Amino acid sequence: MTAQLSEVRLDGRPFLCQKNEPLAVCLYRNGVKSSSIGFKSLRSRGFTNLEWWIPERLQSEEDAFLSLYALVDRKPISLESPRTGIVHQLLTRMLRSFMDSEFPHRAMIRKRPFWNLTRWYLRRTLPHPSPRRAKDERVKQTFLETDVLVVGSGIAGVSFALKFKELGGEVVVIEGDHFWGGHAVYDQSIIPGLTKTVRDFAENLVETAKDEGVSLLTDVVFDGFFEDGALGIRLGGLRPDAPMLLKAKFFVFATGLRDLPSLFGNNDLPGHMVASSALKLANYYGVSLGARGVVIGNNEYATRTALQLKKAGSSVTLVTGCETVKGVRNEYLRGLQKEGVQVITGIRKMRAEGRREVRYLTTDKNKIDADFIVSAESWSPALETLGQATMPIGYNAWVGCLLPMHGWYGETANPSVFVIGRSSGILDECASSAFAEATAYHIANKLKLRVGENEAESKLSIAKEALNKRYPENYEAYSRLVGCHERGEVLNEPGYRVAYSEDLHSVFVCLCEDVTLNDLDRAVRVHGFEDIELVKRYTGIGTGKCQGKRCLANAIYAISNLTGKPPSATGIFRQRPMVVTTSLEALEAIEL
Amino acid sequence: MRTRVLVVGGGVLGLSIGYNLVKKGERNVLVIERKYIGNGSTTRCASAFRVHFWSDENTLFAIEARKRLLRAGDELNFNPLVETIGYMWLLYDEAILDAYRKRNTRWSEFGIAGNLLAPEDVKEDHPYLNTEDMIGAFCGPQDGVLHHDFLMFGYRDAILNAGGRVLEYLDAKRLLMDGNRISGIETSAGSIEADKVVVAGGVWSNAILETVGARLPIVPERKEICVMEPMKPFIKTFLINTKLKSFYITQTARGEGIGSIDHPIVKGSLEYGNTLEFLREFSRAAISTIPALRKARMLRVWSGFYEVTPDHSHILGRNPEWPENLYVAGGFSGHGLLMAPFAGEVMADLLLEDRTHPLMKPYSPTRFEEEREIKETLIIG
Repeated sequence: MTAQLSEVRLDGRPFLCQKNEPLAVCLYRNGVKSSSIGFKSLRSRGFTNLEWWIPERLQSEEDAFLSLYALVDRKPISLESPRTGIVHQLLTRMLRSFMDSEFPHRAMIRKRPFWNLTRWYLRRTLPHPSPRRAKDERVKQTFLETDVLVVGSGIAGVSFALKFKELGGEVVVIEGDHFWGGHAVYDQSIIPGLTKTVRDFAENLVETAKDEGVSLLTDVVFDGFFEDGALGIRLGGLRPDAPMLLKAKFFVFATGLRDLPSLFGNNDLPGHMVASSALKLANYYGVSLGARGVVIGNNEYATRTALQLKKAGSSVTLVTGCETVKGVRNEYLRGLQKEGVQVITGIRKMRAEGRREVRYLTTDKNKIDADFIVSAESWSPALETLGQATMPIGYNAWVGCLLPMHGWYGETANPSVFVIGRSSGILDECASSAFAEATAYHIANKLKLRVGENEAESKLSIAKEALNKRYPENYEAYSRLVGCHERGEVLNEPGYRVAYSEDLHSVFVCLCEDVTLNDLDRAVRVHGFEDIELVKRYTGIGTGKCQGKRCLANAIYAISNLTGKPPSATGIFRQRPMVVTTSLEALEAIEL
Repeated sequence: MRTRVLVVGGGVLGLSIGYNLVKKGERNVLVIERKYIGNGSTTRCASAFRVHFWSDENTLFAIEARKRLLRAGDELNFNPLVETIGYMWLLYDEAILDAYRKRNTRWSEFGIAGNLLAPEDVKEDHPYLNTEDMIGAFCGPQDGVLHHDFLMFGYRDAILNAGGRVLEYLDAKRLLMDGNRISGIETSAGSIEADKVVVAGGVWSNAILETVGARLPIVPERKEICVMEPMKPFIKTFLINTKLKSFYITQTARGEGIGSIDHPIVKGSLEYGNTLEFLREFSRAAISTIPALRKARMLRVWSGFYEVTPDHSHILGRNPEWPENLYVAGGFSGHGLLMAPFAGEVMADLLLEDRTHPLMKPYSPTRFEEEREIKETLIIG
C-alpha cells in the first residue's frame, strides 16, 4: 500500500500534496521540518507527528497553500506576515517571555495601567489565523445505525469485525485515517514466532475483511458521546466536514496506543518525532530521516523502531532512562546485537542541541550526534474517547501507560462500551487478534446471535494461552489489570521515571499551549495543585487545539514524578467532546 | 477540628467570603469543598462581568462588585485578566430598543451610561456582524471579561497566605445542632466544630441546608457552553443576540471563541451533560450572527448550572427562623462570578460585625415571604 500523491502547482512550482494528509508530511516530504510556531514562546515548532488527528492537518485549500508558501520561504507558518520593525520584535519577544505560568503573578503587568497596555498588545500579537471567508457550501448529515460500531481499523478492530460478521452480526468499522490498518501498516517488524511482518499480518486481515464484505468507512471520526446521540464526523479533506449520527448497541474501541513526545530539553526542535511518525516516514513514504538517529525508549516498541530505522539506512542509538531495556522478546534483543544498534541505559538527563534543528543529543553520560530523535518511550490510549465513556483509568507499570480498566472480554464499567487491542494493554499482534475474536463471541452472545454458550469462553482461553505463550510478561501485566477490574479496583502502579533536562523551561509538555515542565513544577510545588483539573486550569495544559491528545498522559506521568504518587492517583481530567475539532458548518447541519 | 467561621463550598463565592474574612483580620477561617475548588460552577462559567441590570438593586450591587474586580489584580497574587471590552446587545425589536433607551437614563444616573447605536454604526465598528433586520444595539462599555480561575486562585492564595485553610475533597454531610444553634458540620472525614457556618454551595446548597430544615428557593438550570479554536482576535466585545435565544459570544485573551445559547432548557436535573441539539442551535446562531464563523472549529463543549431563584436575584444573609449561626449566600442565577467580589465583602461584614450593608439588605432570604422580590429581567443565557 503506497500513498497516492497528487501534484499541486503554485506560482508555477509543483508540490506534492495529499488529500487530508497532515501538513507536517507535506512539509517533511519537501524538506521542511518545521510546521508551526509556538503560541507563547514564538519558537518554531519542529516536533513531527503525522497522525490524522493532529490539529495541523490540512483542513482547507487555504491550509494547503499556506504549507506551500512555507516551502517556498522555508519559514515557519504564520497566517499574517509578521511586522519587521526591530522595536516591535523586541517588545513582542519581551512580552512573550512573560507568558509562562508566572504570567498571572508578575507584579509589573498585574497593576492596572500596565495590564491594560499588556493585554491590548497581547491581543494584537496573538499568532492565530483570522477566520476564513468561506463559500456557503451545503453540508449534509448522514446517519449510521448498526448493532456494533468499531472505532479503529487496526489489527484488533478488523479481527473483531471479521469474526463478528462471520457470527452473523451487523458491524461497521470507522477509521479516522484515509486507509485501513492503523499503525500496523507502517510496522515492518517480523512478528515473533511467525514469518510475517506486522504490516503483512494487518494487510492480510484487511484484504480478507474486504473480501468478506465488512463495511468499513475511512475518514470518519468518532467525535463524542452526547445525551441525544453519538456524533461522528466525516472528514472532508479540502471539502467541508460533514456530521454523521452514530447509533449502535455496542461501541468497541480499538483505537490503539498513541506515542507521545518524550520529555527532554529542547524537545520542540525540528527533527524530533514520535515513533509511529518516524516509521510512517521511513516505511510508508520512503523518506530518509537522516544519517544518524537516536531512539528514546525502553520497551519493545522502541527496540522495533530502532531496528527498522537501522534497516532503512540510518545509524541508530537506543537510549533510555531505565537501567535495562525491559520486556523485549529475544528475537528483537538478538536483532539489536546483530544489527549493531548501540544501547545506552540509565540516562538521567537529556537535552537536544542545535540552532534550527536537532544536531546532537547531550546526556549525563555522553554526547550523541543525531540528525533526528525518535520518542518511543511514553504512550497512552485514546483517553479522549475512553474518558468520555466514563470508565476508570488505571496505570500499568509494565506496559508503561495509563489503561482503561476492563475485563477479559474488554468489557468496561460502561455496559455498552468495550476496549480491545493495544488500547486494552495487549502488545502482541496475534494475541490481540485472538482476544478481539473472543470479544466478538461475547458480544454475539449478548445480542443472542446463534453462538454456543461456551464458545466465547473457549475462545477466551485460546486467546489467554496465546498471549501467555507468546509474551508471558505481557500476559502477567494484563492479568493484573483485569484482576483489579474484577475486584472493582483501579490499577495503581508506580510510574516510570522521566529523564529530565536540568533546564525545565526547555522541556515542552503541551505543544499547543506551550506548557513546559517548569510550569508543571510550579503548579505542583509552589501552588500545591496536585489535582490534574487544577493543574489544567492553572497552566492551560490540554486546553489547546489537540485537547490533550499529545500532552495529557505525559503531564500525568510528569506530575506523578513530581508528587511521587502513582499516575492513576493523579487521574485524568474530565474528557469533553469534541474528539477532533469540528467546523461550525458541519455542526449546523446536524438533524435529530 | 474547629474553626471560627466555616464556609461550605469552595467556589469563587466561598473563597471570596474567606478572602474578605482574612482581609478583615479573621484568620480562623476554613473553606471546605466537596471536590477540587471551583469544580461546581465557577470553572464552568463564561467569565464575564457587567453592571447593566434591569433592577436598581442588582445594578448598584454589580457596580460595587466591578470596583473590587478592577482592583483585584493589585490586591491579589494573581492577575484575574480583567478586560473591559464592553457588552453589546444586538436589538431587533422596537419595543425592546425603547426599553433599553428608558433604562439607559436610569443607568446614567448611576454613572454607567451606555450607548445606543444605529445599525450603520454597528456595522462600521464591527464589520464582521450580520446586521440584517437589526434596528440597533446597546453598548455597555463598562462591562467586560475576566479569567475566572485566576480570580479564584487569587482568593485561595490570599486565604492560605494569611493562615486560613482550604480543604478539598471533603464532602459536607449534615449540619450539627446544639440546642437551637448550629455547632458545626459532619463531613466525609469527621466532624468540624464551628462558631458560624456559611453555606455557599451553589445548586448543592439545599442538600446541606435541608438537614436542619432550612431551604432556599433555588432551581438548577443547566446551561451548555462551548469554546472554539483560537483565532486572531476580531470579536471586539461581548456580543448578545436578543433575537436568538440570548445567544452570546466573545473571544478570550488567548483568542478562543467562547459562547452559548439558551437551548435546550433543562431544569431541575443535576447531571452535567451535553447535547447535539445545543451544538446545532449554537452553530446556526453563530453563523447567522457572524458569517465568518462558518469555518471556525469547535474545540469542546461542557455544561454547568445557573442557580435560579424566583426573581433571578441572589440571596444573602440569614432567615431568623433558621437555627442560629447559619448564614447563606447563593441563588445568583448566573451572576455569581461577577457579584462574588462584593458579595464576599458584605458577607464578611455580616459574619464578623453583624452589620448588614445597605446594598445587601434587599437580598434577605425572607424577601420571598414578605413579597419584596427584586425582579431581574435582564438575564443572559
